[in-house]
Amino acid sequence: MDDLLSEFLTETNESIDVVDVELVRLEQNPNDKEVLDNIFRLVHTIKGTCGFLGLPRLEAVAHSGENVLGKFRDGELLVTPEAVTLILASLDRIKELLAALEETEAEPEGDDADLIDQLDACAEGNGPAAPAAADAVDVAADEAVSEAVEEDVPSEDIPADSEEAIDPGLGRALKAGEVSLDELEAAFNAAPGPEDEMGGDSGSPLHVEELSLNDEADVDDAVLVDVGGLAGVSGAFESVLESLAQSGRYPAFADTKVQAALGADLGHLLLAAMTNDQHVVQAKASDLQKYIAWDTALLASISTQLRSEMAAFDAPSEELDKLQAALERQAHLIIPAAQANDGKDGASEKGSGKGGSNQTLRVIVDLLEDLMNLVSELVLTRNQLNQMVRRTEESEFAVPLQRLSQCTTELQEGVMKTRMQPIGNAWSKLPRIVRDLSHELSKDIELEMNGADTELDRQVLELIKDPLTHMVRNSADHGVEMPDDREKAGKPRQGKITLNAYHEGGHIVITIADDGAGINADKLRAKALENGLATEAELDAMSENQIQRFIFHAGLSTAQAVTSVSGRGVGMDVVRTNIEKIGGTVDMTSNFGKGTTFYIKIPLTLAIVSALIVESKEERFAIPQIAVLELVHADKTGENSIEHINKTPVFRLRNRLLPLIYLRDVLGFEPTENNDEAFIVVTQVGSFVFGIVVDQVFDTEEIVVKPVAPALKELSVYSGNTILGDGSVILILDPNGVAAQVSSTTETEQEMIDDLAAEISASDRETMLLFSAGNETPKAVPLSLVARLEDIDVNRIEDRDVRPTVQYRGNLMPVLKMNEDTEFRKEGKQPILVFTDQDHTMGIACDEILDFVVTDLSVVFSTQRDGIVGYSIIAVNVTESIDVSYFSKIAFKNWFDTGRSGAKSANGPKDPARVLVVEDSAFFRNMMRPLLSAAGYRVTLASDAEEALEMRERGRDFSLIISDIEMPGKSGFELAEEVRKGGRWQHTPMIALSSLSTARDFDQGRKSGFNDYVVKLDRDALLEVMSEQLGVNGNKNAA
Amino acid sequence: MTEVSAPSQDFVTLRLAGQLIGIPVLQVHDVLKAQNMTPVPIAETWVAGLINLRGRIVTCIDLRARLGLPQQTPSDDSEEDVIHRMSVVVEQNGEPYSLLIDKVGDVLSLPIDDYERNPITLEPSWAEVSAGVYRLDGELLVILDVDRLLDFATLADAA
Repeated sequence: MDDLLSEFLTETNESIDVVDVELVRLEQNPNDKEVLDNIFRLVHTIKGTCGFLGLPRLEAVAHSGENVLGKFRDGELLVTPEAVTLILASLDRIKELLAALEETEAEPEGDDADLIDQLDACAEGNGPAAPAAADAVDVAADEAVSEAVEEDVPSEDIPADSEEAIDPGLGRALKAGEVSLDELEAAFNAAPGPEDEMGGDSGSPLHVEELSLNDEADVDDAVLVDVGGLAGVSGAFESVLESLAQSGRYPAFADTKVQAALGADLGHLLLAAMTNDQHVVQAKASDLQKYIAWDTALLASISTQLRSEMAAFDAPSEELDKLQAALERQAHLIIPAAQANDGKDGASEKGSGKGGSNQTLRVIVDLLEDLMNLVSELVLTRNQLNQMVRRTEESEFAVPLQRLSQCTTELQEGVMKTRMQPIGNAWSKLPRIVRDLSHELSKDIELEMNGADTELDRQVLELIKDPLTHMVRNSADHGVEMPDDREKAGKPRQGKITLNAYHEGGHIVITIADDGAGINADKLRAKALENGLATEAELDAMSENQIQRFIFHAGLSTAQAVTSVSGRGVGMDVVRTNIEKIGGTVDMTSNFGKGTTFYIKIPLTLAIVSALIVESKEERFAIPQIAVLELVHADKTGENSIEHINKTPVFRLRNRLLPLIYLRDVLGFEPTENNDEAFIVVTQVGSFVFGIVVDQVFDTEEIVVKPVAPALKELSVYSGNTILGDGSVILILDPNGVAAQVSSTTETEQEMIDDLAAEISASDRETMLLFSAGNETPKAVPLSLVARLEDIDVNRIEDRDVRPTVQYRGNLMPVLKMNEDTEFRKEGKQPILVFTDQDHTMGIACDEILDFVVTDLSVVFSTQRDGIVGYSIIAVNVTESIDVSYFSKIAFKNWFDTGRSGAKSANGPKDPARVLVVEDSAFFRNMMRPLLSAAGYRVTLASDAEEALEMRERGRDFSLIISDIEMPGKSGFELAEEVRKGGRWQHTPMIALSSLSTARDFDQGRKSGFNDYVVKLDRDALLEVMSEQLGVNGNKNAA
Repeated sequence: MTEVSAPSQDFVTLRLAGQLIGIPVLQVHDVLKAQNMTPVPIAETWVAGLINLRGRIVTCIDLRARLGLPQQTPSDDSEEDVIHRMSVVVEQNGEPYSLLIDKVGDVLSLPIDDYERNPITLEPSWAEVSAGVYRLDGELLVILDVDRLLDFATLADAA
């Protein structure tokens, strides 16, 4: 393709993108003069270049568009959405034409009369624009012109109204002046006029211009004719340019076409100066500023030279004086325009690419890519040399190598920088998309973009462009509700989508937030169940957020039906795949009714990354530094050792349990006998933090990521391979893949643990009794459950082997062993924990009472082992929390065989019914816990309705909810109504607990959604009602 | 194969578990001695590892494993001139692969008349990657179809 044409295409496409954005801005702020000027200038440039290249269709469309814009600028037309739509349509047409041009290198056949007619009608004030306002502004505008022209051309009279109304003599002068401008432009651009397409409405002043443009004879402008006509003027300009080039003030271009285009710009500038068109003067001056450093001396020399050149065409000298004077008078416009433009670009950081005095150069992307590859190779070779030199004691190469090394680093940085682009480039199309969508959907959406100047690698930018667009489209389409619905929901009618981009430790974080409807987890949940993505039990265990993440799931997002239900999801899995492909992560939070926020985290660059070199089984691997949080050295024994919970390795990292993955297991190496020492690479994937256990850690190295061979593509554990400094090949581990290799549900589990931990630490500070029994792991039991600690003479325990019992306070008390390892003492006193429940008493034999600790159970791993609720860290020890209900079940089932508590029979020993108690009085709350715990329930407390509802949001499930009625904030009745409205607790039985006990209260309680009503302090009634409710509803709701 | 147009064709001969194998000489980029390989854990068994060949990362394919042959045992080393684990480097779609073989032999120029198609009774694992057979004096030369050998898409399907 012709160089000039391809450059034109790139430039015009860029300009159009800018105009797209600016138009949307203009629509929002119709009075923003600066924006309007910018748009006008860009469209004008497009038109000019099209003419210059001989592209009549493009030029005609651009011309009509510019016309409308001109009317905006002069205040003759109001900026209305309809008019903007029309201009956007003309931009779209231009884009279509450009696309065709790019393919065929010629304008496609066709006719744009429809669009041009509309544009012209609009410019005329018909159709969408409001003509009423035009007249008033018209006068003002014309007055300004008239003053100016008066000064310039005193011999002529000035029109005081629009052209149609002028008397012939006066009108002629002005018309002719305009004509000559366009005439000149045409002459410079050497392009056929678009008049063919323009036929039909001679009423338009533009049309008049175009017509006369064709007719040389029409040019009878007083000034120009006198100075030698068109040929004379353009000839003069060219001479001026030439001599400028010779003086070194203005670059000489080998390409005569470019030279001519610049000449045209200069010509416009000078002409505008003569006719006092200040807009054009300023615009042209700042356009040309790239090439010409304006200053007074230069202007003076131009005007002098111009004068002498024109004189050669026999122009009368008084006219030339006038011209020169006019030009000098405009000097303040030209020079400040240049300076102002400089300042503006510097200060406002628009990143529009108009680089002020910055010299820019267009470079083919492939060249940059090649350069990058070469630099990558250079870095590798440098690393190799470094390694070689390091091995020899004293090398003569050391010093030059150091220098080489430094240069290489700088070169690498430089090349990387050339590839960096502001993320705003990927965003530039978004305002238009949002605008169009909001018109299409009749929504009102504001798009806010922050951090558009955040830079990232070109390649990355290209790759996230589509996912980003998709997500914003999704937010506008499905996220933001209709204005009426928003109003109903108590939100402003205008929805808002906010884009943010910022750096965060070697990453770019992009957030896309909308304040729309959010994601309805219930519906998604149902859909996930329907599609078999998860079982009901799994879903029950998930928090709302986890369920919402199903939208990233392929199975969910492709089905059309889901889209209509969940409102989101088309292609979200594709979005995720694309982002993960470049080593990024995507996450989201959604608040039903309040909005959704997506977080995208992507690496700055893909080509060269810093990586940690580790060793496992004498093989080295690289782990991208980006994923590594920290390194921990684990000893064989002692404080910093790896502990095991039933073969699952964990590590205590600052009082949190870190799940571990042995790299040798992931890679299928033979397990080695107890390693003396190990290193734990604490790694983060999304929100999942885990440790990769390796044998050895070496240093970090800059590596060039090369994709693995197709034969290895299937292995998700590797993200690539590279050559190290010593020349050896090394595989790069993909932390995502490593994590996935171990368990697909790790993330879920981890989050559950986090949730649980957070919850427990918030509400469940409790005194725990620590004791040992059987094995070494300390056991813990809430002290509130233990009735007494007894030391009983071993000899008093009867039937020790089969059914150990002891006579205790006049009753026979069963004594249970903690586990099979527990042995009763041979002699002396046997410590026994005594648990009492109503009439029944049982004892659990233990070896030793260790301690009482007030603790928040910071981390709990749940377990399937009988009699153990889970593992916690209590006072820096891994502790088993024992499940008393399990033991009491054994004790009472075996010994009394009474169907005692409904709670237990309904829920089984391993899963005691979870009960939520909502009660504002601390006294009652504290009383309820031991009472209900003793009855075998797991109790969670909430001090008011809000706290309870928060738990619901977080996805907690309960088998039963007991709520007080009179509470500050929401009353119990309100809570019940809220719960029954929907959400995960909709069908959970609720019991009201109140000191109010009139029939009316009972009645209101039922109405608002309580299943039953119990008067406070009636313990037996409460327990009875609870087991009744659980008996009826328990099975179906038990988590 | 271009056997129709050319009266004779040049092949690099290799030996693998006693069988003589030929690869069109133009497809062979390099012949390598034993190299330091980086193993690729959890990959297919026939992926022997990765080597650095003048700055390029080359995937090594264990041809014995790929063709379902038993691994080399000391008893196979009866011939004196066996150089263990030599390899030839070929390319597939611009991606270099190194084929691990027992021994590299001469380059033979073979008349097209001696060419024959695969016997239909040839084992499927061989038939899949064999482009035909040349009758030599006292021996048969199996022509290796490198493209099909390294076509991992179909390989995955087959597996």
